[in-house]
Amino acid sequence: MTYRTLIPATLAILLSTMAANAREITFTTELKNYGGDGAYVALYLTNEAGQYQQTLWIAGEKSKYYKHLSGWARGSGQRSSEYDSLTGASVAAGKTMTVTLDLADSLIDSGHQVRVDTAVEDMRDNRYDVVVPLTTEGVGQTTAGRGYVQSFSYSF
Amino acid sequence: MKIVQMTALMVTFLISTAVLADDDCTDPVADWQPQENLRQLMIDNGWDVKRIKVDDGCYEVKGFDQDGHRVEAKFSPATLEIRELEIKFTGSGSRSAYLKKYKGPQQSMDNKNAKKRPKVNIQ
Repeated sequence: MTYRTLIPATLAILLSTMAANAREITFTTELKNYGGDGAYVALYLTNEAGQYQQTLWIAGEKSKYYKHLSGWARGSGQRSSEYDSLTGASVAAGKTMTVTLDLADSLIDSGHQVRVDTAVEDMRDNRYDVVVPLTTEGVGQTTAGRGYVQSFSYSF
Repeated sequence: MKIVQMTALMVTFLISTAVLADDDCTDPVADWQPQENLRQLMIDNGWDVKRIKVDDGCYEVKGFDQDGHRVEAKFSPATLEIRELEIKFTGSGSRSAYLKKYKGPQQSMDNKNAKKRPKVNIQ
């Protein structure tokens, strides 16, 4: 094989592996009309055993309330290094939040779960409002939450 | 009339001094990061941290930089952004070399995180 064919072939392999390493995933979380203030929502990954792995997004800007997202708080230890640049506004009742990010392929179809914790001021906290496995089959499937989440789905 | 003028002058003076003196950090205590985070950040940066204390609501670090110059720096306790830096050069210290080398710990971290920040939309 000459260099002329070798170089484009190597480049193509490199590019395809780079593309295969991470995937863009969109998580869609619709909230019920629960009739309260804006909800704090934690979106995070756990392994098969339910052990915390990674924070995907925290909706709600005041860290003093993060303890109410109790499943996430216990796993992450509420360390700011876990949620740096991964926080934003809280989500009002009845609204839909979409979070789009790049996730490593190794996290998909490997037993990892997406979990959602929710909390609203003066109302009850919902640890594990949503728990769904992160799989290729799960794409587009809508799951109802146990607390303030009306429906949750993801696509990639 | 003179009293009114004097009072107005004094009030202006007091306000302006208050503004001038306001280089304190005002981060809410609930958002403060532990001192250990800052210590680790500075150690990663090559500093030899001797002491961290709270001064005017800021974290104040005293120690030696990567070249052994005595340094004193103030950081915002929530973001750990550098607010003030004082260096005492020992021996053959060169300011330009120092400034080039020192880019600030938080800035580089921000750039790293900015890339992977998710796109979020609430409707």
